[in-house]
Amino acid sequence: MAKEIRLQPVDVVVVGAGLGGAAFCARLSERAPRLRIACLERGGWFQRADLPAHRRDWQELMMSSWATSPNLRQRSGASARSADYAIDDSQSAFKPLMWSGMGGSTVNWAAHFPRLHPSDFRLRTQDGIAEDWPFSYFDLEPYYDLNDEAFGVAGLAGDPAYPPKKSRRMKPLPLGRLGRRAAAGFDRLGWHWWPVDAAINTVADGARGACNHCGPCQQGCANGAKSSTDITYLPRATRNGVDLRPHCVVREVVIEAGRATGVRYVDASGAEMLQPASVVVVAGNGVGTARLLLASGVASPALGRNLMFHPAAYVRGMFKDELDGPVGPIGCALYSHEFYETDPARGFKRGVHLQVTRENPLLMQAARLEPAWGGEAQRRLREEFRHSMAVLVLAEDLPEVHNRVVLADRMEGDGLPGVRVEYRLSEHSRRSLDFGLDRAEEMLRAAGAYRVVRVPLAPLAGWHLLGTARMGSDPGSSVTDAQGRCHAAPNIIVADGSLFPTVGAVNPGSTIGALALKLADDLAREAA
Amino acid sequence: MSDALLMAVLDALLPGDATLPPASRAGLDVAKLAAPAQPLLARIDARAFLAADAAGRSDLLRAVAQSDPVAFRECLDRALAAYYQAPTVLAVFGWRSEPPMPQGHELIGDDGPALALLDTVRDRGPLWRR
Repeated sequence: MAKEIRLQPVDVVVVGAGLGGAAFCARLSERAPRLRIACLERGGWFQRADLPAHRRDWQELMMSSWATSPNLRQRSGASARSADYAIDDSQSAFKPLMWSGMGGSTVNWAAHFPRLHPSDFRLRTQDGIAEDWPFSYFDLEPYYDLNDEAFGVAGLAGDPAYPPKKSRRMKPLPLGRLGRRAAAGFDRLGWHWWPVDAAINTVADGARGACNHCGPCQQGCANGAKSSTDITYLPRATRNGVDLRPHCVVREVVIEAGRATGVRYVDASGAEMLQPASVVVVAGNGVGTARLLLASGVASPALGRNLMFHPAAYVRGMFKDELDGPVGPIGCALYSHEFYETDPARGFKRGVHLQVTRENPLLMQAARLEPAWGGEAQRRLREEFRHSMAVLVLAEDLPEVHNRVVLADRMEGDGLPGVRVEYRLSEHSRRSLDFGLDRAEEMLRAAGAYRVVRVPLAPLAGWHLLGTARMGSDPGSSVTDAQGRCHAAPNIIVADGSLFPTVGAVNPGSTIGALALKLADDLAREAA
Repeated sequence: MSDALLMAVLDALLPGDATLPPASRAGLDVAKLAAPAQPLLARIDARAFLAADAAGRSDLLRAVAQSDPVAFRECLDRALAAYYQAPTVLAVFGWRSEPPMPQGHELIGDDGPALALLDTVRDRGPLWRR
């Protein structure tokens, strides 16, 4: 058996270089420059020159080695750039999507960048359900602003669905024919709509280009227009002296007498390492963080539980006139929060996010027809391609203890126990989605759709992996305190979406980044 | 026989229309499809399939799809990928065969009038709950 190598101690070791981990590293290294910080990432760097967008078979790659699902990538048998681990998602209504490498899931996110609303932090107080966050929107607001600055947001200030935000650094993404059609539909109904905030450059910024609407954002951005932490926070962290270590799979947070003493990991050469540290920060997303902490024996009854996605469904509308098809970022062009806040008359609490999105490439659209073959399928594809618009409905998921991440009995190739996701769609979520689908259909018809197709559930929309190490004051029902410190071992800090007590009905990236910055400040103050 | 069967199966999956070519005339690299199609072809009675008309071939494929959905889907996915990435097919859909980069795409038109509609939204005042 190979001997474990004991490394020189560091002050802080961060596990994961995705959104939370990278933001944490950059901020902590600025606020507490004397701290020795190491960041261990199970995957490596990806090269922009290798991305599917440069290849003629890019559509096929989107569905195989560059699919958004780690399970699909693994099943494709191709050598993936993401250091994936198998996730048993057979008992989950939504299939977890992620990327394991420098940049984490910001490598293949859509960079749709909304904030939570103030009411999202106060569900217990305002609606009598779930939990309040331990702080308010306005406590987090300065960190939202910092995070916006780091990512470089394109958008339009003045949205009345939110408290005033600072002016966006760049003009919004173009609406295009699709967006203009949708805007007319919302306007006809008198509903709120607004161009999205996107972490995508609409003008060139230093070495990073402006978006040229090439399309496959979720397979990595070929010219760096889309923000991801490998080109935002991680270079800052490196400049500040953070020791970034790719291809290092952390197998255990070492805990002695109720405190973490470091982490055990295997490096790129296969050597087994012990990295002693005064503080261990875990940022591996709602699945990876729970998996590591459970495997490390963190004793916390809520750990892994209360898993929340954002229940997703959509309606596609068909139009006689030509729209843009798969041109431009998938996560645009506009959204409506007309139905975001609670209205008791709807029969459910909280609300829905309606987002107009661009269509899929031709092959993906063809493969999703049912049936996908024969003359009728081809006729439908001819009718729909470049003539359709999808309205995505995201509902607010509520925490339920039976929705969870659990360890499987078997060990995986990465030296950690296997992981299983158990998630049932609640009646509440179903009602929210159905309401949202009705509204989406109404809007599409107002915009001129002559035919609509409802997709009542979108299983491959499991991007948002949240709530499995949630913040709170009660160690029986929460995993960490308001500073992300585990009740069971206070020098383990969680710094990702696992912390969310509730999740709103919008994409969480902006909030994950802001939260990680806040937690880094909390630690820096203590270290001063 | 197996080449003829493969071509016939591909054409039943992707028959084309007045402007869209059938799979056998879309310039696909059929040799690359032979191996993934083999488990499906092995379940088809070649003589009966080749003798059937278009509707009959579809019926036979539906039956095989039911009895061995994995083999059917594997063959279908490969056929779809080859077909809908073929330059001749992409051209019919008004799409170019060159990769998305470095050229990118253009979003056409003026957003100004649509963005002016936001005045109505602004005029409603704040929508958020404190």
